[in-house]
Amino acid sequence: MAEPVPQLPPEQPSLFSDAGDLGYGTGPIFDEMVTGTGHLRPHWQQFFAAHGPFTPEQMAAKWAAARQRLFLNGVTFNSYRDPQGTERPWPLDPVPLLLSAPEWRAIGAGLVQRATLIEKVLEDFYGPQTLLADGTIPPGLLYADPGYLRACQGLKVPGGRRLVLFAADLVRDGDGQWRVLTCRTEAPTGVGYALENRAVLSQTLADPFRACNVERLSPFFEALRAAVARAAPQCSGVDGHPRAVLLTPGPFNEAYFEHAYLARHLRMTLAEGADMVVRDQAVYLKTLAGLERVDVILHRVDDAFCDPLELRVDSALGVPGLLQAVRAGSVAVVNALGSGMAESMALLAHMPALSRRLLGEELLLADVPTFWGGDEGQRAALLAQLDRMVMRPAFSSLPGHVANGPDLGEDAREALAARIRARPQDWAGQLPVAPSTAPLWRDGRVEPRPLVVRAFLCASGDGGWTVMPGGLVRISADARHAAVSLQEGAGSKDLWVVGAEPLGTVRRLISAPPDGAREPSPVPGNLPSRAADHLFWVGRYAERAASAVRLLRGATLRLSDDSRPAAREELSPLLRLMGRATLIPQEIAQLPDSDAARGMRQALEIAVDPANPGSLVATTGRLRRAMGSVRDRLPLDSRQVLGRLDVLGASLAKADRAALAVLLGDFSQVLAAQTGLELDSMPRGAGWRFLVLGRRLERAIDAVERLQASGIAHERPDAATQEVLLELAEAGPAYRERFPVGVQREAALSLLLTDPEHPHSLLFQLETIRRQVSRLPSLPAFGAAGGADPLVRLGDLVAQASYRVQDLALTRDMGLLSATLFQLGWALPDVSNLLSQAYFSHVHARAA
Amino acid sequence: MSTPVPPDQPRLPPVRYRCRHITRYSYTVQVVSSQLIAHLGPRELPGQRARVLAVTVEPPPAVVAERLDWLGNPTSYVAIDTPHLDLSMTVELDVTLTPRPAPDLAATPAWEEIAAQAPRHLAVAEFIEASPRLPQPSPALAAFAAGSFPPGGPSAPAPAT
Repeated sequence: MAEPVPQLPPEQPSLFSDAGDLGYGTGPIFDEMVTGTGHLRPHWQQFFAAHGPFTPEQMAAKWAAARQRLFLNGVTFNSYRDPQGTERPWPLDPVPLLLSAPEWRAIGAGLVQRATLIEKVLEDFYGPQTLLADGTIPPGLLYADPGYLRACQGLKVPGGRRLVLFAADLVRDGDGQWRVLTCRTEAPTGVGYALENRAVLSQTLADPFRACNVERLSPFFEALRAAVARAAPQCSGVDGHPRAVLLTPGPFNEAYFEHAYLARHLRMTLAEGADMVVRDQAVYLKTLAGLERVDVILHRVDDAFCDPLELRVDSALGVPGLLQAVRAGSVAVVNALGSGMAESMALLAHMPALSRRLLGEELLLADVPTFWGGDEGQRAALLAQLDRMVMRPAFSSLPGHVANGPDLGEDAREALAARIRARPQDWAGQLPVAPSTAPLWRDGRVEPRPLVVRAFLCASGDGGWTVMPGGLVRISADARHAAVSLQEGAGSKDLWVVGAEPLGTVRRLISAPPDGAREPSPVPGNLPSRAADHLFWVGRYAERAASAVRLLRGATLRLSDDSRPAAREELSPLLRLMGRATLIPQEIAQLPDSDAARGMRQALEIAVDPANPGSLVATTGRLRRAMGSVRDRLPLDSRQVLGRLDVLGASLAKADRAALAVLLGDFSQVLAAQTGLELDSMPRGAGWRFLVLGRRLERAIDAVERLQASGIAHERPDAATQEVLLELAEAGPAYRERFPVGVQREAALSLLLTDPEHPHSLLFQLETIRRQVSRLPSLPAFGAAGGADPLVRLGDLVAQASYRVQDLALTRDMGLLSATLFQLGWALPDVSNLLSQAYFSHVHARAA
Repeated sequence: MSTPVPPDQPRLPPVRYRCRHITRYSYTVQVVSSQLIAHLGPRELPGQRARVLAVTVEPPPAVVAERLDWLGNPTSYVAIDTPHLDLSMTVELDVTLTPRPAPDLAATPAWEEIAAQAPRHLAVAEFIEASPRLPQPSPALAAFAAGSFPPGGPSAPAPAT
C-alpha cells in the first residue's frame, strides 16, 4: 500500500512541484499538470511525492529504461512513408498523463452515451433508414459516403451488437472542457499499444504507479475477450468455446505488432485473409489438420477489403464469400461490416441533432465544432470561416489530407474554396481547438506539448458498455495542432486514472466475469498453413545464419591471431566453404593458397555486405522477416532476439574487422538464445515440428554441401581442411578426445557423418527429420486427385537417406561416399519441396 | 411528383415474354472451387412482372442462395466445389410487361424545379450522388447533357427528331 502523503493546498508552493522549479513553461493554454498560476494540480501531487522532481539524470535513466524495454519487447509500428518500409520503434514518453478518477468517470459517461448513440444510428442506416425519411439526416450524408456499404444493408448482426470495440479521440479545449475530435468504429487501433505502454511504465515507474493507486487495465481486456466471444453465433471449439480469429492485413500493416500482441492477449488465432476459406456459407481456417470452423472474426482489415466477392474486387486481404457467410448467420464479424461509415466527419456534424432524436438527450460530451459541406447552412458557415477551419475529407473512406486553413495563402484558400463549391459533400471542417498540454520529456527537459486522448469502450453483456480506465495518449510534435497520428511520428503516453477508491469498494462498469462456456479460443493446436511455412523458414534461416557465423568467426580468428598454429593454411579451405555457402563469389573462394590472406580480408567485407544477397546480413533480414510473421507463435522472449538481430544486422554492415569479431560472438549468443527458447519454451505441437524440420534440414543440406566442397571424398584431406570441417561441425573437442594428434579421415568422417550421438552429424539430422516427419499431422482428404500420398513419399525419401548414411562403409569407401553425397545433394532439397507442397501450398486445393 | 398524362391514349394489352439466357465460361486450367454472384433476372417494377422459372448451373453447385440486393434486383450466390474446366448458367424467365401510358413530356415541370427537390427526395437522392467506385462525373458529359436542358425547359424533354 502507498504511504500516506500530505496533501498540499494548490495555492501553496510545494517543496518540489512549482512549474518554475521544473523549468516547465506555462501559458494561456490549459495544462494537464500545472494550473495557470504554475501550481501543480492536486492529482499530480502524489505522483511527484513518489517520483521526485524531474531531474535530467533521473529522467534520462527512466527514459532509457522505457526505451530499452519497448525495444526488447519488439514494440514497433510500420511507417508507410518510410521508403524502406521498415519498422520503427514505438515512441513512449516516460511521463504518464494523469487524470483524476472523478473526471474520468464523467468522460466515461459521455463516451457510453456516444457509443450507444452511434450504434443506434448504424442500426438505422443499415436497417429502416427512418432518420432519412423523417429528415433528421440529409440523404446525401449516407448515399455520398463510399463507406456506406450497400451489400451490408440488412445484414444480420449475430449477438445484436454492431460495435464490440469503440474508440474516440478526445481533446480538452482552453476552457478545460473535453471534446470529441473523431470516433473510431471500423477497426479501432491502439488498445494493444495502450496495454503495452502500461506494461512498460508500470515497471519503469513502479513506485509512483503503486503510490497513485492507478486503475488497472486487465479487467477491460477480460471484458473485451468476453464481448468478442458473445458475438459468436455458435461454439465450434472442441472445448465448447467459440473459435475466434483476429483478421490482420499482415506484417506490412502499420499496426501489425498490435495485431499479434492483441491476438495473443485475447487468446485468438492471428490470421490473414488467405488463411481462411468459405465453404457451405461458413468460414474455415486452413490448418495443417484440415479446415477448422471459425465462429467469430475480429477484423483489422478495413470493411471494404474484407470480401473481394461482394465488396472491393481488388482486395487481396479479405476472404471471398465472407459476407454470404455472415448473411447465412454462420459467423460473426466484429465490428459489424459497414460500421466504418460512423467515423465520418459529416456524421459528427449532426451528432447533437441525432442525440435529441434517438436518445431524447443532449450530448454529455461536446464535439469539436464540425461543419459539413453537404448541408446548406453548414456549408455557408464553413466557407465563411475557411481561414480558421481545419478541413478534412467528409467521409473516412475518402482519400485526401487535412488542410489547415490558417496555413493557407490567399490563392491556396481560393483554390480550396473552389474545390469545396464543386463537391461540397466531400468536405467537412472543424474549428480549431487549442488542445491542452502535458509535459513531454525531450532533450533533457520537460516541455508542454498538445495531446489527444484515444479512449476505448467495449460492449458489455447487459447491453451496455465497459470503459477502459486508461487509454492511448498521443503527443503532437507540433505545438499548434491536435491532429496527430501514428504515421506522423508523434510520441505516445500512458494514461493513468488516479485516486480511485481502493479496489473492492469501487463500483465498476464491468460486466460479470465471462462464464466459462463463452471464452473465445484460438483454433486449438492447429496451425494455419502459412504460419507453418514461416516457422519452417525460421528454422532454415536461423541455421543458415548460424552456419555463416561459424564460418566468419573461424575466418576472423585466423586473420587476427597469427600465433595460432596453421592459421594461414586453414584460410584456403574456409574460403572454399564460404564460396559454397554463397557468402562470397567463386573468384575469391578459389584463390590460390598464396593469396588466401588478402582474399579473406576482401571476403569478410563481402560476406557482411547488405547488397550481397548471400551475405550474413541478407540472411539475417530474411530470418527477421520470417520470425516477425510468426512472432505470435514464438516464445515471448523471442521478441528480444528479434530486436537484437535487428541491431546486429545493422552493425555488421558497417563494422571494421576488430568490431566484426566481437559482433560475431554476440551474434552467436543471440542465435543460441533463440535455439534455447525453442527447446525450453515451445510446446511440441505441429508448429514446433516444422521449426525443427527447418533447422535439421538446413543443417543436413549444409553438411552435405560442405563435405562435397571440401573434396574429402576424392583425396585424403590435409590437416587444415580436416581441422576446419571438424570446427564447423563443433566436433573438434570430441575428435581430439579420441585422437590427440594426426589426420584420421575415417575417424573425422564418422563424427561428421555417422555418429548418432553428435548433434552436428549428418545422421543425427536425418534421424531427427525422420522422427518429426512421422509425427506430422496426416493430410486429410488427400488422394482426390489421385497419385501417391506425398506424406508417404516424404517418409520414404527420409528413410532412404538415413539408411544410406548409416552404412559404416561410408567412412572407408570413398566411391560410396561420393555417390551418397551426390544422392543426398538432390534428395534433401526434395524433402523440403515435398513438405512445402504437401503442407503449405497444396492445402488450397484440398476439398473440405 | 405526379406525371401528367395526356387524355385519350389507347390502352395497349400486356406482353408476355419467355426468355432463356445462357452464360458460359471456359478456363484453361482446372478451377477447383468457385463462388460467384449473379444477377440474372429483371427486378419487379410497376408495369413489369418477372418470374425466374429455373436457374441451372453446370457443374451442379454446392450452394445456391437467392436474395434481392439493395436495389431490388434478384441476386444469386452460387458456390461450386467440383473441379471444372467449363461453367454454364442457364436461366429461364417469364416476364410480363404492361405498357403504361406515355407521359406528356412537354408538360413536365421545369427541370430546375425537379433538380432542386432531388436531394431531399428519398427515391432519387441516392442516384444523384457519384457511385463510390466509378470515375468522377465528367464535365464534358455534363456539358453535352446541358444542351438538352434549356433554362426553364421541361424535365423530360422530347427527343429531338
